Amino acid sequence: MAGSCLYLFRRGIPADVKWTAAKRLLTTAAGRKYNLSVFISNSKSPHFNLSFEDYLFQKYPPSSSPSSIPAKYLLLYTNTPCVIIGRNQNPHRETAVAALRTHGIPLVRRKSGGGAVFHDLGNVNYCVMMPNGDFDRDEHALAICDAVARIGGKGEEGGGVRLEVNERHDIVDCDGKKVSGSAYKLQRGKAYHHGTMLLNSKLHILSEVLHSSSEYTSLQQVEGAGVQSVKSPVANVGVESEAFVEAVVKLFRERYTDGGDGSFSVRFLDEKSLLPDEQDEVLKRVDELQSWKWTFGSTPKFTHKFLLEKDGPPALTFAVKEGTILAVDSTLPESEVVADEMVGKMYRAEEIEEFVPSGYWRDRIRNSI
Amino acid sequence: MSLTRSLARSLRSSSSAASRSTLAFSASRSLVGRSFPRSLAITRLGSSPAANSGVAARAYSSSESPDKKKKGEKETMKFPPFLFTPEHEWVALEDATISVIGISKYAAMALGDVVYVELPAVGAQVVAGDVIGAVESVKSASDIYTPVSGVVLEVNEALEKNPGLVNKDCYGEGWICRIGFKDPTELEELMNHERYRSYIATGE
Repeated sequence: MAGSCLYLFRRGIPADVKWTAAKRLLTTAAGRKYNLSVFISNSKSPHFNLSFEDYLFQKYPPSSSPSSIPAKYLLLYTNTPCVIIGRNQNPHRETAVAALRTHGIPLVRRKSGGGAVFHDLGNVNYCVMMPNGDFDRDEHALAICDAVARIGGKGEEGGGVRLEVNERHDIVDCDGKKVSGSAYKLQRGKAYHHGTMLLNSKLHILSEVLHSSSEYTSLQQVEGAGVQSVKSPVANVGVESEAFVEAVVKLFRERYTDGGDGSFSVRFLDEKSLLPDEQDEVLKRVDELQSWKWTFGSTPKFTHKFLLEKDGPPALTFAVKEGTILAVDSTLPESEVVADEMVGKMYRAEEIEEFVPSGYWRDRIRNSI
Repeated sequence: MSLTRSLARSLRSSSSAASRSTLAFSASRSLVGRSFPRSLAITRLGSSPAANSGVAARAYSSSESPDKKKKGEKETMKFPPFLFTPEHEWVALEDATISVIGISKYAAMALGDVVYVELPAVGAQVVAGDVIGAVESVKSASDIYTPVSGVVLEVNEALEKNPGLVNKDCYGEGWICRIGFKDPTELEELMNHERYRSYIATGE
């Protein structure tokens, strides 16, 4: 199948399903019990859901005394089509910015590490928050595999879909195709692991918006620090969202609590059901997540080169740091681009297009930055 | 949220080359070629506490001991060389007013290959406990906290091109930043090397 959740990994270790068996013997928190709070979002807004996740993480109590029962939070949500990039990624390099605009697909920078992923209504996201001492990149991925194994799917009779965790901590199907990718955030005393789960996603859109081969993208080069995505072949698991959510919640309750009512709670939520103080906290984060300053302005320092022909020399090069143009190198006449005027401006089309008399270049800049 | 604050701070302060060059501590530079531990809470990455402490103990019993002088580092440090936070940062004092911060070998190993280091803005005012940056490795973003209050004097720009220095030489070339430092009482709660070793072995 063509699509791809792409994920960002420096080392491309091929999927090896043997890994799962070994990891099961090694994972930390085996047998440890928690007070499990489950949050199920009925909102489909990526900005709301990511903001709520961030707020929940702030609220999550860091590890207290070793004798008390620690908390574990499980948040489940689904987003309308969007592209989510890692904290330290360059959207110009990792996504097809122009294609996103054409399709009206929002681009969101998350706070965890890793690579770019595509979400749509056929994908369910899970997030597990835990004391940092229990952080483990595989523990909860294995739990998700076990939950899916209990659901029927992909036309198999009775038995569930067999999934494995590979050496890159991704969940893969029996063909080694990625069905879920993970990212993590660690803070003092606490950590979260969140991941996607491709159940019935539109994989052809995924590949188009993450790596477009349009004429514009082949005429651009982005260089600089930051994390680059690793492309993986992807597949859908083929089970219904409701069945997935139910199976995951059930397994988490069995595995991570003592089974009593006191150690387990479920809350459904959306934009309208938040308490007033929660609403303030979440809205504040929505504003930040939607801001240009966060999405584009916090990109690691980079240079963006625009070519006139594939593999030709750059005609126009921008050096950008913290969203601001540090330098412009142009081989174009001032009748097309007035390069010097752009230095010190924010690197966004509406800020600099007044210095671009040429219709051709204005078009390219609007499409690309 | 701490990350947000650090982001806002780094966006606010335009870290111009000029402001940076005024802080040339060339005399002391060779002496503190040490790395900065990132203070992330990566206590136990992925395996049992027992297995982890074994790793940590090995790390420290090797020649990587942070206090060991490297070739070419002839100056002597006059203050307690390395102090550690529970979040696995280290701090070393270059003199009574300048501290260097990095992340410990234990943290560097637990994190895995570092692919990006988010550095604080030069000139930023920080308070002990603030997030001053983050380290990304194996899809995780881990916050770095400063153990001391003061002004960020310099950041290790070599990490922009070569974040792997944090793994390679966390007590040397992988240092994170220098912070102008005022209040020595802030150091009192930090762990010396011995106590830190015991902390990573037992969690206490």
